[in-house]
Amino acid sequence: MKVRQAKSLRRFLKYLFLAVVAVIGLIPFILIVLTSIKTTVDALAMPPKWFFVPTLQNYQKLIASIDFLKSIKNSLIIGVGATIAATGLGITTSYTLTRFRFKGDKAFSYFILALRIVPPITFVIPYFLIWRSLKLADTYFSMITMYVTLVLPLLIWMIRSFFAEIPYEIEEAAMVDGCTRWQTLRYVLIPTVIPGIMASATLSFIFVWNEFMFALLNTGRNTRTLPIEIYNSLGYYQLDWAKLSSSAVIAIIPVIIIIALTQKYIVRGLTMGAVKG
Amino acid sequence: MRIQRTTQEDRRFILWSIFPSLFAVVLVGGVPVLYTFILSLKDYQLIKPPGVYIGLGNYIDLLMNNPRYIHALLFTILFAAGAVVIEIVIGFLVAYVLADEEVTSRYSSFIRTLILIPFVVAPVVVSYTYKTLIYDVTFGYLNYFLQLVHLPVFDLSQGIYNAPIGILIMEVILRTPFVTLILFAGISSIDASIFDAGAIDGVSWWKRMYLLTLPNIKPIIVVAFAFRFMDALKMFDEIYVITGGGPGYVTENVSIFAVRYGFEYFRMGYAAASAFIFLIVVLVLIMSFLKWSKFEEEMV
Repeated sequence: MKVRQAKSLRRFLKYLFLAVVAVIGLIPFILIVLTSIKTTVDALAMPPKWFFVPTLQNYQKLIASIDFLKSIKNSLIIGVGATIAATGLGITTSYTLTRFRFKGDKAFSYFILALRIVPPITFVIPYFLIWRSLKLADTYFSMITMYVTLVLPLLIWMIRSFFAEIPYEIEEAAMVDGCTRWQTLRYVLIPTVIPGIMASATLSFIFVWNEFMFALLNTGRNTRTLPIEIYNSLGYYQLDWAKLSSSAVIAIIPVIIIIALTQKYIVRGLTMGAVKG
Repeated sequence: MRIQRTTQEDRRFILWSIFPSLFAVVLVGGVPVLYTFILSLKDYQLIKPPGVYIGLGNYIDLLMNNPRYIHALLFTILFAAGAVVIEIVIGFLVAYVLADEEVTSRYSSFIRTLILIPFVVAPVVVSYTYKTLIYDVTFGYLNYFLQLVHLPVFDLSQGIYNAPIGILIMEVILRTPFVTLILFAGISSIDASIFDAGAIDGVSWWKRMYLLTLPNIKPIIVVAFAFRFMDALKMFDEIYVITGGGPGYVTENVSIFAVRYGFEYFRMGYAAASAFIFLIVVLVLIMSFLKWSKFEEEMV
């Protein structure tokens, strides 16, 4: 009897601990959502209004804002563009790095790993000057190029860990049947690891979608991305927290959907394949 | 398996599959780093290019005459190390409870998604929320609750400790989930028979954690530490949004410092030098950690 009581108390404490941790972690997000459906006045009421009439007026205002819509469009173009380009490069490179020994393969691996370690601040200053002198500042091309470099190391290492799991015999069989290496990669290997590739791609999309520093210093009127738009909007509407919150919700939603779909592989992605998850 | 001997066709394949990435990595990754170094040797003012070479002048000034930079460098490293250590301790505890057999049956993809949320949303967005909805002196929820229980107000702009502590708390709350997930993956992969043996021997809960779990997931802790430390050193968005480096220069790290000098005082050469010193410090720190932990042998 006593043992059972002790056991259920222990279980209760464990759940309590996890619940407290979860609440602390999720409070800001709950507050964002709550504030986003308050009126501007209610959002600033002190003491906070716990019971209020929800309103969608903040979202309506956002959708009517051309700047906001344009920043979403920019974020999508840059995010999708960079992700597709980097994934294409990442697939072939990571396959070759898993499968072949060649001159300089180690050096190449190290170089990519180093690129992951280099603090982005080292890139920001030269990029800014280079794009200006090439007259490419504030273009989709320059933004996508920068982001490809930013996510390529992650993609190569992550996809590599998926290729490493495929037994070589499968490839051999395909090549005996007359496939060239490119065909084997295209028709046999990529279909096998496509869930992993999709997860890697979505993860790099999230990185680009959230990225702030490069965008802050390199985007202008034409390519301003969503994080910058949100950052700037607080300057204009100092105390319009309801509006801020609703734009935050819009920035967060796609990320959460993507994560829900690919969460199985995220640990592996964030550790570049070092932990399988 | 790796192919050692390659045919003519394979060699062509290797060339074509590597070349585009190599091109991208060298041109867009390597060249800018080189350019940063060249800039760092110049007194390059953005408003009157091209600037003149002054040798190591920027470096000497940064390291000898600029206590603000030394502070930024130290703050970056100490803040990152402190935050990551706290994250690992809390992250491990949460992961350990989560992986407990009484709890783990409830672990699902839904819970994993919840855990991931703080880590994947844009830092700018979350930082703004913390700055306004939580930390704001007049309208923030934190101060509302502090006043309810008659505690002093927590004002980020007061004193030299409030701002770093405020950012540290936010950083820990946001980043611990990542550590938790990694360590959870590690703990779940431990062979269960180890624990069964422990249970038979009547090992207590704490001892089991200390003697059985921790030594078994040491490599995973190293991975978590390496990745978190790498990213914590790069931190920019959170500080830029919440305090902008203030009050004074208290929370200014190297990234903020370089952006201020480069893009507000327009001293590009000086900013480049500060970034380049930082690059070397980071590479030395991370590489020696990886070497020490024998981690990179597995990776490359």
